[in-house]
Amino acid sequence: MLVNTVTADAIAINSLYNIALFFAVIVFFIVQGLLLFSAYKYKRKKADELPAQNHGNMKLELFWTIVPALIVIMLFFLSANTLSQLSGAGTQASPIHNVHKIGDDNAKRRIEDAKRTDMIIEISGRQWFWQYKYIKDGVNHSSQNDGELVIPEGKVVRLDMNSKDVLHAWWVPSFGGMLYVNPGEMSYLWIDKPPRGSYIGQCNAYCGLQHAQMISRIKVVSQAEYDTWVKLKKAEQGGVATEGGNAERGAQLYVDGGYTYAEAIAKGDTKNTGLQAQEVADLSAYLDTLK
Amino acid sequence: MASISIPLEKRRSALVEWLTTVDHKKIGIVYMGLAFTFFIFSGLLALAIRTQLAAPGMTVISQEFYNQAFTMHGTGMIFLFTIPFLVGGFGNYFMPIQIGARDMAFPKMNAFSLWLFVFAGFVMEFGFMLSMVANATGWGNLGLGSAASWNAYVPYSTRAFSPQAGMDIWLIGITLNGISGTLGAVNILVTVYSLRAPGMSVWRLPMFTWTLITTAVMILLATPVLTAGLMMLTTDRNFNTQFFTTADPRMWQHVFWFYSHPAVYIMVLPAMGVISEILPVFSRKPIFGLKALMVSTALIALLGFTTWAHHMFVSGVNPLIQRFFMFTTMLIAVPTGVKIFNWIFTMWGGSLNMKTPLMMSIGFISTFTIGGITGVFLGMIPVDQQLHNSYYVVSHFHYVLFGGSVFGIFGGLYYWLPKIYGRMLSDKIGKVQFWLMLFGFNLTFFPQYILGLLGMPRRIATYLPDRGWDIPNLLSSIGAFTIAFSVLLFIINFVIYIVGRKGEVAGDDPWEGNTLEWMTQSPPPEYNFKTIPVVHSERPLWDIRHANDNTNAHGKH
Repeated sequence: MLVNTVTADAIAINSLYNIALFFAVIVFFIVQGLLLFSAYKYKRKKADELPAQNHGNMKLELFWTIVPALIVIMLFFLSANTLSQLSGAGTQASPIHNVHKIGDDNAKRRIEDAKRTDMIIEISGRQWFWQYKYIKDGVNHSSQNDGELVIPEGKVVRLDMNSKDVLHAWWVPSFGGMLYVNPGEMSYLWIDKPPRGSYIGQCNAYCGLQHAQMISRIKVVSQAEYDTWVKLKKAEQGGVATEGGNAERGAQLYVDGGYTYAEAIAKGDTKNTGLQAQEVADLSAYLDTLK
Repeated sequence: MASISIPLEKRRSALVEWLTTVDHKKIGIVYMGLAFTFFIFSGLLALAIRTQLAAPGMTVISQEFYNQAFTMHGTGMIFLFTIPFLVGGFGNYFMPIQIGARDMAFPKMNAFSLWLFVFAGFVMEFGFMLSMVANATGWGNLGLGSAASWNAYVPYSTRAFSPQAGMDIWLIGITLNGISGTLGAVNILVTVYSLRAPGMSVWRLPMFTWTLITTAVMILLATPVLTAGLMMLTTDRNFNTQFFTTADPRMWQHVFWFYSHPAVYIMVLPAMGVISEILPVFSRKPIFGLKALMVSTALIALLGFTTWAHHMFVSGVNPLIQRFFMFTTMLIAVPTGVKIFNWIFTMWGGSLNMKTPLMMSIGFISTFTIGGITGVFLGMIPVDQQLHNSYYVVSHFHYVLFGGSVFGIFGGLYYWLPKIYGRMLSDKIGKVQFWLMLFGFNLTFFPQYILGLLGMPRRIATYLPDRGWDIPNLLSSIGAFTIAFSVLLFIINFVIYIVGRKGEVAGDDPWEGNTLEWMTQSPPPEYNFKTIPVVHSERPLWDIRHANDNTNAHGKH
């Protein structure tokens, strides 16, 4: 029943949902059927009719106590089983606690052992946008102005999340799973080998005035496209030479010719951007696709 | 004594009488009247919310007002309508009569609870209303409304992020309301303990009274926790204490949900009691499995205290502890299911008198079942990790609290208003209201399940057109106005047939009731009963009606 589930986590949650839905539909039809039937069948026909004064039936009552109890106990174990299949779950006996205080190195180590990870993106929740920091590639980015979280397809991405102010919650329905992002704590979610495509998520813990605008757009691209995007972002941030420079500064940074890096790429400028001719051409072509 | 024999009725004007009364029936009526007013007001806020969400990108109301509106819709419906209406209104009016008492055990404390509730409601709503008017007329932002949502999660509700006075006003209002409710619960428990008519043993208590005392136990155990939490948050905001500001981010959530999950049962158990009164009367049968119903009520109350952290499955609670709460949450479906089947089998094989109270009760069972089933889904941690805080949750709890409590309240009104005012409401209008409300309700809330599955979070003031949420939202908004129209029909019914005295005279017992309130006049005299009745079964009036035939109710069957 969940819509557009693309990762293993989302698919596992969806199949659990469908199993529960199967029993729910049966219970629904039994209850509504009995209710409508008795409302229709037993309408008063004569003003003075007196039905049998039936006070109860122990066998029936035991039946509708025990059968639902068995159903929910079964759903409990199925849920526990699904939980242990989700990313970074650990085992049923010792599940991974994917939230910890900042600076708790033991907890952090357990997170690092929980699942093999290809890349880490640090996410900061703020009123009312998400800040993204790509640890290995040195890109800084945010969800403001429709900024997309770009990730390469087929990779296991770990989101290391923290809030700089109030509670937020990270939720991209297609990937399955949601987690509160708290001040003073780290919260971890995994995006497990997402396929190419555009996805959309939204802050799901009420965080104040513009809560409705705290939207996260995610774009999963091929590795080549991702590499190009990283170079472009780095160029915007101040070029290869100033790796790790911050986005605000990078956006205003002018090259010697008096224009921005993005403009330098568009003009095919290899000297000021410090890139190879082929790289400039790739970036330029990518820039055009964005227009 | 002759020298001071001023007749009572001449001593005080009607206004002074209503303001100073300690009569449980008058207090009950004031509770009901005021709570219903808050129902209308909070309902209008819901209409504002649904208008804003009818289409993407609407700016009918400002984002700031939207956030205040959903905060006050929730707190108004919970703290100022559902709980006070069922416990303060129906509870005050009918519980003492049902157990054959002449008043509550502490009539003056009863009056104090009432006026504290009135004051608390005034505190909660007045600042918000002033702010609303100021915004609408361009006086600017007075900051007297709260916009922290009903759960007031820390740190958003601390001074750093919600500096406006409205937050403090809201906290103080709920605190006072909680004290009023706690006193009321003490009163209920002492009354049932000490003032029952002769012969009324525990198993002969009317179901409504039984649910009311389990509710009172829950209020007594849960509400002080919230009240303490609210006071601590208030001092954090104003006197630089550090109860929540430097604590674990989940501390407030634990305190809040320790009250607010039981609060769901506080809101729905008395409504279950109401329909457990209506069903046997309108089926002309004893309730099916009385003891199972009573025990399952108590079990729900007990288990209700062990499930609160299921609201925190994505807050970062230790996963082993989460599994415990998943288990208790799913288990609570069992006693709830027992009730549903017992109600249906009360009707089964009966002689159904298809009047509005019974139809409202059938509506209750039908819609509440859907709310209960989806509650099991949300109790499953992996599913909750996907649907927490989404419109799926909004739909779920409206199926429980509107589909349950509100249908129960209207059923109770059609059932009991003839007793209170001595006149019948129009059954025709009642049935039209029922069908409109049932249709409007499902039209409003069923699409919200779909919205939740489509990924729409709750508490968002607007949404973009590229999300695919347009049609369910539009349907939901149309449904909301249908509900509003059905409630309007009730008001028209009440004004014409009761206020306008167009309704038939009810007589003592228009429905062939089972419980003691149908033994006295309609409306009951101030002293309720000339002589206190003696009770021989759970259906004392049935016993009297059938004293001479062989369907003797307290025999074995």
